[in-house]
Amino acid sequence: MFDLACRQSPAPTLNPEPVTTVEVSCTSQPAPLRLRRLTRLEWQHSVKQALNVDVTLEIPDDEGLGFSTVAEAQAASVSLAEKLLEAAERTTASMNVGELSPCPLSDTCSPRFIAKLATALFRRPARDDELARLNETWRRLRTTESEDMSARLLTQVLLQSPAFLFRVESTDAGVVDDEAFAIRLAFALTGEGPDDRLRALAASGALVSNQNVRAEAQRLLSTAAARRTIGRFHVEWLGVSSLSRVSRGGPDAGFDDLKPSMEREVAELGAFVTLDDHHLSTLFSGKTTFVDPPLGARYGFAGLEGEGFRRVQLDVLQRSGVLTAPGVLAVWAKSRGTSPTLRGRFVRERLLCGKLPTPPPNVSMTLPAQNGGTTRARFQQHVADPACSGCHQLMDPIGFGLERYDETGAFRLVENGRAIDAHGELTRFDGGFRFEGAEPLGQWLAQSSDVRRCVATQWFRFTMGRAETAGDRCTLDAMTRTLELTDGDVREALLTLVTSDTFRLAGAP
Amino acid sequence: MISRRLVLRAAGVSLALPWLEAFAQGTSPRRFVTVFSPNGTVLDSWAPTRTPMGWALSPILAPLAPFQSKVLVPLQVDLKTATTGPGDGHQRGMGHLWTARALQSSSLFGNVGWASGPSIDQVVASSLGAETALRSLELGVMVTEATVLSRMSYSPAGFPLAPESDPRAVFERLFGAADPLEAARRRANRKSVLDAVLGEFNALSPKVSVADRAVLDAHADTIREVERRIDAVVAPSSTCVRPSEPVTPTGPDSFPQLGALQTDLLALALACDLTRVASLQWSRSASPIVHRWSGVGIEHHELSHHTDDDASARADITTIHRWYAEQFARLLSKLESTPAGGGTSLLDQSVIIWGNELGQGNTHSHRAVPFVVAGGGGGTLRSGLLETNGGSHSELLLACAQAAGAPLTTFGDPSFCQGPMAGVLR
Repeated sequence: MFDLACRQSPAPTLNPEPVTTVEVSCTSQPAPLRLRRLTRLEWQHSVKQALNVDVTLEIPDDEGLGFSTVAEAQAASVSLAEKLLEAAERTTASMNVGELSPCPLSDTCSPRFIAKLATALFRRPARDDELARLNETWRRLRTTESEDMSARLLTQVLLQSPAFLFRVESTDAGVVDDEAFAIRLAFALTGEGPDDRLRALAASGALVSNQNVRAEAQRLLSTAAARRTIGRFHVEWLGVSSLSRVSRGGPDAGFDDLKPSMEREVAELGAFVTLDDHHLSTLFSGKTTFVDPPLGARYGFAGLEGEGFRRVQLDVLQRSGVLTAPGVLAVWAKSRGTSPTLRGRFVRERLLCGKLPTPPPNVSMTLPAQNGGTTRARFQQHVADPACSGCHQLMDPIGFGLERYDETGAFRLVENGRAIDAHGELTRFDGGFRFEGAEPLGQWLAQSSDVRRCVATQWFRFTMGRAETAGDRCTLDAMTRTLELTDGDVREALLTLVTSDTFRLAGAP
Repeated sequence: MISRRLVLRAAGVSLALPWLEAFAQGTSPRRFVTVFSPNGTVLDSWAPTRTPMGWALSPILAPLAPFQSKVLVPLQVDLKTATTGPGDGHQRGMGHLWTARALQSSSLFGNVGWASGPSIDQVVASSLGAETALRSLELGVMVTEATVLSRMSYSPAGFPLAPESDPRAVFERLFGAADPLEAARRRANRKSVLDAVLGEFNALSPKVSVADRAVLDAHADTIREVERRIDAVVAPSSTCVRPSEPVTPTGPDSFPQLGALQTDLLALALACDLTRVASLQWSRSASPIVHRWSGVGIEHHELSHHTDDDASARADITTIHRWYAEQFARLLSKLESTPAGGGTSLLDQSVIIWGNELGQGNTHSHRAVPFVVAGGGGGTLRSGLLETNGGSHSELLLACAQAAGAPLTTFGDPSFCQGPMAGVLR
């Protein structure tokens, strides 16, 4: 374990972008919190967890800071209310009332049925006033409906109630209470509510001890739900969650059919690196990935059989780390051709957490026409203009190094009959890093302290559902230091986060 | 929010307020529609020209020929407010288009958050929306994301309103189940459930912080909107015929079919007087749609960034916008063929504004943005070509809102709105 006391000297940043200087405070300061609504996936997982029903909630994910979990991006809409109503109806149409009810369903049994379901769905014991209202609703429903139908309609009420839909937190003396803390911990690591053991620990007061929290977090991290959540983090962080919406390489490229496999690959790799391998460097420079047979064929693995994902060794002459995953390469590209700018921006913003300035208004942002040459040549021409080159120098040369992969993520050595020049540069005020091809770029990222800081920051955003503030500096420093001292064990950094002050603090009012 | 709820309750009891008087005087209520298509235009192909006899439509706007006498094309309108506030060209264009206010500074989407004020459709809905089953109707065509680039409508409190992109769900919202018995049963069940749900919101709301309460109340308001729709019964008439239930098409090339279904449902919602305020959003700012059905094989946004001297790209962009003009004409045609009493059509009673977040895609310019105003506004709107010489779009929106009967005297950032744009209103 690593203590959370901050050092006065902030880690030097090597990013060339202007960095706002923040006063380092050595105690974590609560940031204003916004009430969090369950995300699409959290809703689905919670329904499965409480009612054992697989159901799809058909709403788009919110997308603040690139993540689906950010509260500030969550907006109410009539469309959402309708979809929640309709999904609740579908859920109760296929739920097994007999299996869920603690006693043969009847008017006598109904209070126990209601208490059991409310406690399961609300992620904590139902309160007396809630039970009184729900039992009254049961009586009202029963005047016209059967017991079975009343049970289903009542469950629809629970599914649309604020206690299920929102993560309402009771706060006291500046920290969240044990119940709310258990819920935070469970959602952070598993994307669903606390299981029985965690609830019991919360009720017993055991979670005031960080040692117990750490042990519970380790237990949760060994579950399938944690693997799923960590996979999802990587899919969102690396932008691959947008893959389903893009078209690449024309209708004959066979791209659309591979999208789900490409997304899954990133999830599998991320979960493997975090939970099995424990070295962040493997994510950027590892020689291994996960494919199913159709995606394997794309990589050039002939003869993979059966279904499902399996671990494979990469051809090191062509692929290395997540930078060369087809899904990542494809999503940061255009429909007909690559975009060194987008790929460079991806590295700057998503992997290094740099801030790029907004393009100035009314400058021409035109691409030279396809002229039979290479993309690199077109883009070099495009940023020759000094009005553009200032910013594009930060992005395009990084993307040039990834030019051996086309917009579908396929490996290539020539473009339009010309050999590809894959020399790239990541410019820095200290002179920058020159490289050729994806592998050395991946290796550079694998050892970069800026990347480690950024990974800590991205996890913080995903887990806390908000942007970091100056008051979170201590926690981010501690997470980063954990990564430094463990040679990039993200699992340990997550344990640092959930045992930090920040994780317990209630928001400023 | 509270005042609106009170108004709704009052309306439920007595069907009060101005429109009753309007009906009594034999005039039809006005309708207000905003339509968005993305990525700027090719000005030379878009701008109509003066002729000795009057004016001629352009290659892009040619599909509006049947309605030329009911169309006003204001030239050289700028999103002047978009010179203020944070955001990149697309973000500012989309956020300012119907709100005419700066975006919020935030790290939510790069450097920006949501818009900082209500959109014109929602401001108009504050006066036109009280008596109908739906206060307003926000429709999208393949709006699959949820960022500032994909939201154009903002509630009176400044919350973004997600458009509904599934025609099947729109049909359900407008018309519900076909079998009257099943419909009645489902209505009763949904009402029981939502009443109890609202009971939970009402009980929790006072116990949480002020900030949490705002979130809970915003959600509860949407549930009330759903309930209000459940309460209302559509009265079929010669102009309001229940359509057959649509099957939502899927796949990347379903954009035209989805758009046609949404256009027809929007027109029907107005014809049935289920709502008087609607919006239709085609894709989003920086639309990634590949218009293959028009023979264009590259993403629209990517195409919009080609150089001015790329004749092939300009031809393709023109093709795309002409296709959008055909879809706009489809909406006008549906409204034109719907009688609205006194020998007028629904189009004559409507104010329809079609806009874009940019003037030109490859510069992200907010100048000379292509706007078209269609409909008669109940006799309040002019038609023809209007030289605005750099008019502020918020003044155009204000004029349109006034044409729809909304009692507004300014709109958006007041420093860019001196009053309704001259030459729009009769």
